[in-house]
Amino acid sequence: MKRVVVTGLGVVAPNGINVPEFRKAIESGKSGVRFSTELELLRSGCQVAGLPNFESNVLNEYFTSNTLRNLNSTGVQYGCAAAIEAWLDAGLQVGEQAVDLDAGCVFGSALPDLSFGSELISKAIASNGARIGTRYIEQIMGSGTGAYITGLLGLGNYSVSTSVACATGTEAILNAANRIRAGFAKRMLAGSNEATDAYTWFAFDGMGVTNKYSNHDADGASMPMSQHAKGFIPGAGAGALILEDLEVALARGARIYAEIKGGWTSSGGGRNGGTMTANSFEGMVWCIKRAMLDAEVEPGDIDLICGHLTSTKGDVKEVQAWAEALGRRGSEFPVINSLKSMIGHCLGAAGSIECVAAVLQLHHSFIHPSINCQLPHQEIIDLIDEQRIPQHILKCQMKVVAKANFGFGDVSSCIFFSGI
Amino acid sequence: MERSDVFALLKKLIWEYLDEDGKNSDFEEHSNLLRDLHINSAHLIDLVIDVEDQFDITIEDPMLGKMTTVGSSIDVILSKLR
Repeated sequence: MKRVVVTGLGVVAPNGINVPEFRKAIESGKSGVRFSTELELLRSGCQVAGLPNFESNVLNEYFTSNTLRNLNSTGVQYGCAAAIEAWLDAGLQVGEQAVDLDAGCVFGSALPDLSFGSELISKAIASNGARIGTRYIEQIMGSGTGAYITGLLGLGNYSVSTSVACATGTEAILNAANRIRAGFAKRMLAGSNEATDAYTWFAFDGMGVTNKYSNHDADGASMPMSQHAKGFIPGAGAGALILEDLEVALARGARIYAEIKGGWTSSGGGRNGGTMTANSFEGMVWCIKRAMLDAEVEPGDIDLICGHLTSTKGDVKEVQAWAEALGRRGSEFPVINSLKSMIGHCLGAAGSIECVAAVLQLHHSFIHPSINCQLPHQEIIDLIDEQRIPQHILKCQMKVVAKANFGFGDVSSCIFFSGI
Repeated sequence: MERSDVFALLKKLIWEYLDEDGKNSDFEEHSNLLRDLHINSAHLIDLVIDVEDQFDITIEDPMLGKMTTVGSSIDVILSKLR
């Protein structure tokens, strides 16, 4: 089996719209959660969100003016920007190169961009049968972002767009890594995106899963693992990683951020307490254990868990699942943090943005703070030493970093990164 | 509106859809939109919408087939303007 390494990173996150800005933000614990006038207009209970401070003109250099005209889906914009940044970061060229049959793309998203879809609906209703233009389908189809990326970069090996709810990003990266491991591809662009879309956020709000009580305090609204956690804060953005066969990366002298040791994606099957909206405990534990087996990682190797940890009651269950799967408790438990404390829950983009953060922490030897958790949930500190939840940046060399996401439909995805 | 005026306005609209090869091609009345100027068939529909907005006309589907070259497109536009 081939070894797979990460050689490029790209991100559009609520607290940083490129990798250098994002790294600085997560090191300092900077929040990207802001008041959303769109949520206010909808009279949503939760009116704050993780909003990328994004200007689409970063795409001007790479697409024709005609393509950019009416490129209005924020999800597609974020995805393309993150993908281009990752590609360039890996030292690769964007241009008119021939199709590369050894390079492919897996790019996912959890939800359609209903804000963009609403433009289509309004235009269709007002059209009275007149033509509405050709730019809607390519941006609203599930594989739209992937199609823009593969077309721009000439990726001919494999091009799929995946969707696994909140586990979408992590699964996309594993999916792409496994293609290289199996020898089917030499290089893969992997990632996921989610649009700035108040309509889907409003629908989550209606389910009672968002925090409706912190509209006056955006920075403090997302509080994973806290005793005060009252629901998640929705967010948007994209993350992208360039994965390569280790031999290919070494041969071209590429910078190597990390190795993907392996991982697993699975479902609890909607049994044993698993439902559309809740993960089964057994399903989460099994996924983590199976991922360790695949990655040949021992529980004691893991220095950091970059959790899913959404700022809901699911956080307690997740920490319990990690403790059960690893057989580690108290002060023996790995350090655990949640990027969502700073950016909210970017839904389909969560996994890929959080994997970018995980790789940055491993490569640059730091652990970002898990903010807004001054008082951890009692059931969490009954299980692990509260010092394992960092309030401030920690500087340390790490052997293995674990990243997992759990999502609607009882799905789990867990991946392990290490140095080479 | 004179034919030369329509040509100038149409050229401006078409220019937005041209790739580098298209921009470097001769732009004449006989230029074929798909073959010579490399406009793809989907963008041709967007161009027709731009033409409708620019000249405040409606071009029905059966007329689309006649808009194969710059010159034939001008013919369609002028027939609608009359």
